[in-house]
Amino acid sequence: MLKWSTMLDLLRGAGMTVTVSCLAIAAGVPLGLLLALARTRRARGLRWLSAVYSSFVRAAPVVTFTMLIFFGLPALGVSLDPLPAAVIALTLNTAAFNAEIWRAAIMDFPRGQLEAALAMGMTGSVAFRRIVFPQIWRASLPALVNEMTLLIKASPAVAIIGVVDLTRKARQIAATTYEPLPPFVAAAVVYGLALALLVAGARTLERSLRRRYGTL
Amino acid sequence: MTAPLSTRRSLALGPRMSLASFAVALLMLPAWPSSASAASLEDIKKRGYMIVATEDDYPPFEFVVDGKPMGYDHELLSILRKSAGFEVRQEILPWQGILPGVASGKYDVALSAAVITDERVKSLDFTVPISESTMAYVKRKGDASIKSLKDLSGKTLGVQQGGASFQVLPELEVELKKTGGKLGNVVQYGAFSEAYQDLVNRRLDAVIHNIVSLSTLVSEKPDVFEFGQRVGRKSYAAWAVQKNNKSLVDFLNAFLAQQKSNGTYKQLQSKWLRITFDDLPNQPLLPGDRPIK
Repeated sequence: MLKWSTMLDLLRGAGMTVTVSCLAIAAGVPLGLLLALARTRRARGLRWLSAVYSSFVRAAPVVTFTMLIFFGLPALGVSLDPLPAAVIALTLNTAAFNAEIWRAAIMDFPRGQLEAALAMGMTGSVAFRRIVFPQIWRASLPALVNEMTLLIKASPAVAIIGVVDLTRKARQIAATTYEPLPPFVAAAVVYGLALALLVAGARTLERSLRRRYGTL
Repeated sequence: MTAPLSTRRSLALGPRMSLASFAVALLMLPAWPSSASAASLEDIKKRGYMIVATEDDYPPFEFVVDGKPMGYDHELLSILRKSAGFEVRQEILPWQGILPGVASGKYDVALSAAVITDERVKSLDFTVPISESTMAYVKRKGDASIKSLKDLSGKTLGVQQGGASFQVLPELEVELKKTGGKLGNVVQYGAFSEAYQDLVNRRLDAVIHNIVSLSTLVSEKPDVFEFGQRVGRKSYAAWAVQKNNKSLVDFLNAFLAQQKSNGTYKQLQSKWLRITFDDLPNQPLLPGDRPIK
C-alpha cells in the first residue's frame, strides 16, 4: 500500500498532468481553428503551409516531437525550459489534430447560409463571427473533446525532458519501492477520474446546447 | 509469445511513439549545427552557471522520494554546489533523455552513474569512476534452475533499453557458448522496476543490472529476489560530458579526486551504496580495465 506522503506526491504529478494538458488544450483549440481557416482559404501558400504542418505533426510521435523542440531548438538559438517546451510540444501536436476537426466542420457548413449573410451586407469576418463560428464550434465539440482525452493520455511523453507528470511520478515511486503495481493503479484511477470529469462536463454542455439549439 | 508483448511494454514512453522514430530523433540530434557544441569550463564561468542532468529512478545512485532527490550522486552534487564557485543548475529526467541532452549541449554534465562502455566513449568523455559497476544477474528467490552463470543458457533475461545491461549481452553470449549454451530471449525495458516485476510474474528468469543496484534491490526485498553472479568484465560508472570537453572533465576530476582523498567518497559509498570500493582507478577505464584510446 502507498504511504500518505507518497499519495500526496503522486497528486503533485497529477497537478502537472492537468496543468500541461489544460494549457495545451487552451492554446491548441484556437490554434487548430486558425490552421483550419488557413487551410480553407483561397490563397494557395497558406493552404499548403497548413496542410504540410498538419501532416508533419500528426505523423511525428509526441516523444520525438518533444525531444525535437527541447533538444533541437537550442541549435537554432531557442533554448526553452522543460515546462514551456512541454506545453508547446503538446499544443503544436493537439493543434494539428484539432485543425482537421475544425476543417471538417467548416467544409460541412452549408454554403447557402454564408452566401445569404454576405448578401445581407455582412463582411466576411462578421459573417464568420455571427453565423459560421457559433455553429461549427457546436458541431465540433464532441470530436474536440475526444481529442482532449487523447491529448491527456499522450501527455506522459513530456516526461522525457524532465517534466514530472503523473506517470513519471508513478515510475519514480516504483523505482524505490520495487513494486510498480500500487503507484500505477493509483495513477490509473486518477487518470480515470480526470477523464470522467472532462467527459461528463462535455456531455452536460452538449445536452444544454441541444436543448437550446435543437440537434447539433 | 513473449516478444510482441514485451516490445509493447518496453516502450513505456507514451502511446504516440514508436521505437524507430525515437531512434531517428536520437540520430538527428548530433547532426544539428555546431552551435549546440558543449560549453567549456571557460564558457561556464563566463555565463555563471553549469547545467547538470541527473536521473530519477536509479537507486541507490539517483532517485526521488516524495519529490526530494536522494542518493549517492545527488549528495556528491550537493557538495559540488558548495565548492564549484559558480551556480550549478540541475535537471532531473529519465535516462533516455540524458545522453541526447548532453550530446546536444543542453546539459553540460550527465551527473549520473553512467557505465563506461565502448559504445559510449565514441560520443562522450568520462570522468574518473565514481563506482564499480560490473553487471550481474538477479533471480527469483529459491529458483533452483539457476545455480550459476552457465544456467542462464536459454533463459529469458530482462535488460534496460540502451543500458549497459543490454551492451553486456554479447559478452554473456560468448561465456555461455563456452559451456555449450546459448543466449535465450531478451526483453528490453524502459525502467528496471518493470523488469523486476516481470521477474516476480515469471515472465523473466533473470534481470541483468549493475551489482550496486542489484544488491540494493536484494537488501530491500530479501524474500523475493536472490543475487546471482557477475556477468561480463569488471566495469565502472562515471559522470559524462560531451566528447573533447577536456576543461570540464579536468574540473570534475579535480573535484572527485578531492572527495576521494578527504574520505567523502568512502563515507558516501558506505552510506548509499552499502559497499565501498577502495581501488577505483584514477582514470576512466573500459570494461576489463582497458584504457580508453
